[in-house]
Amino acid sequence: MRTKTISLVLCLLMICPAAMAQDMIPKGFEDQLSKMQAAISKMQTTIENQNEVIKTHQIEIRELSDKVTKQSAQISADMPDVPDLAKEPGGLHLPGTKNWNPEVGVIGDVVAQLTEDTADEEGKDSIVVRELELVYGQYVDPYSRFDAAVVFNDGLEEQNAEIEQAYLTRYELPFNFKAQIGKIRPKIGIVNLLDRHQLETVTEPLVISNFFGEEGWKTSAVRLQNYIPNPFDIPLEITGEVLNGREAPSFADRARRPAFNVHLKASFDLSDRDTLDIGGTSLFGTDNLDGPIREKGNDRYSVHVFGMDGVYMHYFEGGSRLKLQSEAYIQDRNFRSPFLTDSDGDGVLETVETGLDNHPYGFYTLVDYKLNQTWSMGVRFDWLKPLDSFEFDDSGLVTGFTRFGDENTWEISPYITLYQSEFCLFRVQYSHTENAQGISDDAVFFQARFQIGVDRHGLQ
Amino acid sequence: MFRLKQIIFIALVSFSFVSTTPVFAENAIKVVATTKTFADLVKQVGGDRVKVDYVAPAGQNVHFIQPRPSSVVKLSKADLFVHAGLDLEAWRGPFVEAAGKNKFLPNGEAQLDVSKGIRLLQVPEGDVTRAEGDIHLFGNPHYWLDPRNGKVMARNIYEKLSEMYPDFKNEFEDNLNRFIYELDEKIAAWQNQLEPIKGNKVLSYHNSWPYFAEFCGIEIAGEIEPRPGIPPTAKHLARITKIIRDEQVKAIIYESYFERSTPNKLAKETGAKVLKLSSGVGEVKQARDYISMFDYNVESLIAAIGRKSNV
Repeated sequence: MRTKTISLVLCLLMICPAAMAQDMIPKGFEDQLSKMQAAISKMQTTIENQNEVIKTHQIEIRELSDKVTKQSAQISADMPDVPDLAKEPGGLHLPGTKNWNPEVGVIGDVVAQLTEDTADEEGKDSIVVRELELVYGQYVDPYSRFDAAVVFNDGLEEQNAEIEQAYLTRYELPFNFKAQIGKIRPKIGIVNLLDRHQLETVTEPLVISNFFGEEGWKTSAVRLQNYIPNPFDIPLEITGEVLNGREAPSFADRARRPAFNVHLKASFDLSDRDTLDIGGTSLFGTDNLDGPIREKGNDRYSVHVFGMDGVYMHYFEGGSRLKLQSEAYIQDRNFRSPFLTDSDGDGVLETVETGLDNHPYGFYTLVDYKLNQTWSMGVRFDWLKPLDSFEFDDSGLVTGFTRFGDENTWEISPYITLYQSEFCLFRVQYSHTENAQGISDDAVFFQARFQIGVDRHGLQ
Repeated sequence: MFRLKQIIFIALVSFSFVSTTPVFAENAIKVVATTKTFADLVKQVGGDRVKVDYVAPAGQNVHFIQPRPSSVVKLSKADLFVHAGLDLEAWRGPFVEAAGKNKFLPNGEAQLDVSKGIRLLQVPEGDVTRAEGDIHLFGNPHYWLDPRNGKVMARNIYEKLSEMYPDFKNEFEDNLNRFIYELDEKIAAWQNQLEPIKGNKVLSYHNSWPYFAEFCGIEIAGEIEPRPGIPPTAKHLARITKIIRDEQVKAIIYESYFERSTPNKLAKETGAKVLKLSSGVGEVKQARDYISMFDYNVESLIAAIGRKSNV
């Protein structure tokens, strides 16, 4: 009994302080405590997760570091021995300077021809590197660009080199004008603006070669170009040129006066697949000032050339394309000043009326059909009333004339082109010519054209 | 005579002033893009604030088009020029020069290369020559044919427009987010649709489709062109025919600007299907915009391939 009593007292003593302590704890403490415990547990989980992420990243960083080290080692191994440029003559080669080098391209144009010229029994069969053209170009500064083309050719009798084009283009002139200065191809119609290797045919149209030279006219000039605003929002391009008025058959060989050219072109986008460009040329210059002695002095700006040009293009689905192109020119030449010559050799100069045609004219029409990436074919028809000309001696006295009267020259030239790639083509052309002197000629041309590097041409 | 000249001169001057008025009286931001695809992306981001024109007609090979004078005039009046960068547009340099504005020249402040930030495929290693065909020096430039790259391009356009026209930044941002949201949803849907055909092999005419193939999870077993830009030869076609048979190639993809006779011939010999896909917006009539272009391409591909190959 005593033992039971003692045990009861001890129990009471043990329970009472606990009960008293429970009474002393503020209300909600347990809730807060459990929340804190939950938060701590959550934080522990987060830290553990973060540790995992950090470990993963450390592994990735290590792997990347190893990869970079290996790649660096590989790059170093692949690199050729670099000379100590600081010790090289010419000093250091700065990174990126190669971008300052001009864009360079080389174009080869080889033409073989077989002819059956009735005027020349031996014929004119030949194979020549007609052009080896080196083209260079790069921006000069933020406002301008320089382009040049130097052509070497391997003619039948001699090899020669020529600056075909070398001009500076200046952008951002007032009223959005663009200017070019240097040796250019004047904007006369369409074909004269093109390099030989850009032509669809092996040869130039007769009217171009007869009026402006075998390869078209290339001369030193200043060109201004702009688009004329108009209410119809039709692109109306106007080009004005002041040209060194020589080196074209229509003008003087050694003219001291410039020639002037204006070309106007309207472009029509008929649809997404059809386009039409129509242009007009007005060109005037001077005939031989330093040539034949004229009775009433030399005629200034005695040669006017008027031209019309047009190109229609249709793009078919499947990559084929039809092109119709034509140019027509007529001249108004002023021979009103009769020439002086000593026709009978008596030492006394007599007046000679030239009888030359003042209105030579010509046109061509080209139909070109590009079947696909590989083949194109077409035909060009030429019609020409050629330029009459005269011969004179060193003293300027007229010694003879070449007059064609009412005779015309015409030519038909079908051709077919194989594009081995965008940079290499082979072309076969047949030309039948009936010329103004009553001579016919049949010729077969074979052309190979190829290029490496850059071949950069302005938009046509 | 003098009076006549005076009258003509006054008439011309008056005409030029009168004619100038409607052309320049436009408040929209004028953008010229090289392709209709980029033009559509500009429109998606720029919304009504932009008036967009494009240079390369849809359905023509963008590598070699001849830009029209009308495009030159539009560029000369434009506020921004958007292009593919790299060496996609071989005509870009002369085109920009014809417009005569140095702000559009390389690194000019008003030109945007939308390829910025895109992971390029097939970047050549080491020295390259044209013995490898018309190879692209900086990598395959047909990157817009992976719709995931559409988001990068759209963001580039957004950043450029916002930089140039900060007043409209919020508007552009809303348009961008809307476009990306829509594109993301579509991408998920296309991926689901494409799941059954993943792993199949196709053949393409030109090397235009590596990005699309990667997105679709298909493999391009070869090209009809033996090298980029090089027309097919009989020897190469024989090799390709063998590949189609050996590797069970299901479809031959071509763009509308390539001739169809060669794909048809191969299809006839091997039983593969010929499939015209749209390599740009507007190339086929179903490809009205960037998203519908992929709708058309994905559906056409699935229809042509049908089901997963057993190979």
